[in-house]
Amino acid sequence: MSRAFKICATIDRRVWYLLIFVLVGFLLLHPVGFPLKVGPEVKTAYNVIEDLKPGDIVLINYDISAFGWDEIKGSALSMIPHIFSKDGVKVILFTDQDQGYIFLETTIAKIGEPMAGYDGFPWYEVHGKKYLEDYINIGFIPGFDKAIAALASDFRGLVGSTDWYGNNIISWLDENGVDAAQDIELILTLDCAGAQSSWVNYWYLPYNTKILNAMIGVSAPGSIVNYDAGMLAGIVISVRGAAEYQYLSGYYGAALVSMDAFSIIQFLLIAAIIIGNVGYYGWEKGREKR
Amino acid sequence: MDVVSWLILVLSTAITFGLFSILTGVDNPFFAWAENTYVGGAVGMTIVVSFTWIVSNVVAKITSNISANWPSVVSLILGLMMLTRIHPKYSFIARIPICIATGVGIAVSTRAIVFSGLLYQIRATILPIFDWSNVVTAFTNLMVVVFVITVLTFFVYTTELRGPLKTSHTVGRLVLFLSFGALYAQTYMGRLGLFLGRMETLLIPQTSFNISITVALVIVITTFVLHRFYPDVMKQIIP
Repeated sequence: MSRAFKICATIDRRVWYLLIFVLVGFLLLHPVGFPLKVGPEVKTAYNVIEDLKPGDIVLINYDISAFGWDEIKGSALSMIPHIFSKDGVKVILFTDQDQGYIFLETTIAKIGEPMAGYDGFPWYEVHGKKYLEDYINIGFIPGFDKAIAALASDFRGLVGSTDWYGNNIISWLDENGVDAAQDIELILTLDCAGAQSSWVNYWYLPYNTKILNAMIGVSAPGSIVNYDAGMLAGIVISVRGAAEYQYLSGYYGAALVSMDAFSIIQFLLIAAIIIGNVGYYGWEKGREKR
Repeated sequence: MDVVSWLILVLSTAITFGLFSILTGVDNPFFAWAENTYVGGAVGMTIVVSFTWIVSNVVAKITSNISANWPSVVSLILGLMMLTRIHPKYSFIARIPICIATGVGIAVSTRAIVFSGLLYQIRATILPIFDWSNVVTAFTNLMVVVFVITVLTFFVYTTELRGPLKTSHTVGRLVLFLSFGALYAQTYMGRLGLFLGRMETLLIPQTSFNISITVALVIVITTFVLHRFYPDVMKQIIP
């Protein structure tokens, strides 16, 4: 018995790493298709986008850096196409991270296609929406929470007269009636650095702007608290939330496929905790006695 | 796939597996290279993008109409004052913009935080606990109310804990342990999500899969050979 305890207590951690690599690789390439239940908060987020009306302005914030892109991309690649698919809705793309515009362009390139007669950014058509007609990209503004606060207090002043690529956007803003924060109907913030709290502080509290938040797992506790307090209109948590959103919206992607690996690895962690504790109490605790 | 895309794919795969190589438990040159490349690239990117933004927005505004955009002039001067930190003799000048930024930051955020961090959160815990028409909702509400009160009593330090206060304190302590467990699970889920997303990029489609397997094998075999047979060479090439 003590030999079994010793084995449990002394498993090389590299064995666990290898096991995770092999299992994840296998299950990503050969998904089983476990059932998936859509949570109420994701349903709420879906309904908020579904209820958008023609003429509504949506501001999409990319609070995304390289370290979090692979986790948040599932949400980005399902929620943004859903917004773009709504008739008559106008979209402003924005990022509060210096690396964010790279992932913005990556997203647009994945969900859209170059407009006729153009080759390259920003001239992409996404679900029938054309650049500088239905959507614009104001790009990166430094300052993080200060930039978000400044956008709320003086939107036109901070955005200026040109987009991220130097095109004049004054007529677009005028035509669509975008003068101040009150003119924005919905904000979707895709968070790696917890920008939702700034949007809540500077947009929801003074103007009651609806805010949807998709975030990486480590930022989830802060978002859940604000969602429960009614300050966020909907939340999509990590890959799991993204998978649920992909299932609901029909924009299927890798997040949905990875759910099998996700579930199995969670079970593996539970097994590792049990094995480690059995080994600890059976072998390590008895070391002095031995 | 064109050559540039292929090279980008190989480079990003090599950096990922270079960073993963620390999991072998051996300090190796691939990890050092990948770590330094990532940090250097991220810092370089920040500098270039921020500088470009300042030139195309702040400087452009100032040069177009300096009298109308005098706040931008003040901002630019304050920003330049921050750079004096690099010189020990004049580093005290940087305290002025830091003080202003701190003061403005606190002033802007305090009002909002009182509402979002306190009042709205208190309001969210005022829940109906006597309406049991929906058992699940009522039970959840009751748990929220009880746990908020018991956890708050855990942080009572100014009186001796006796009777109901001690019971509440103990329950609050257990609830905190439960929440730490939930937070750990949440963090683990997040990190696993990140790993799964990266693995999906590395393994799908077939081209990525082939590159990933090749790069991973090269890194593991080279690390093993260097560690086992050429430890002195290994020490020399790790910065």
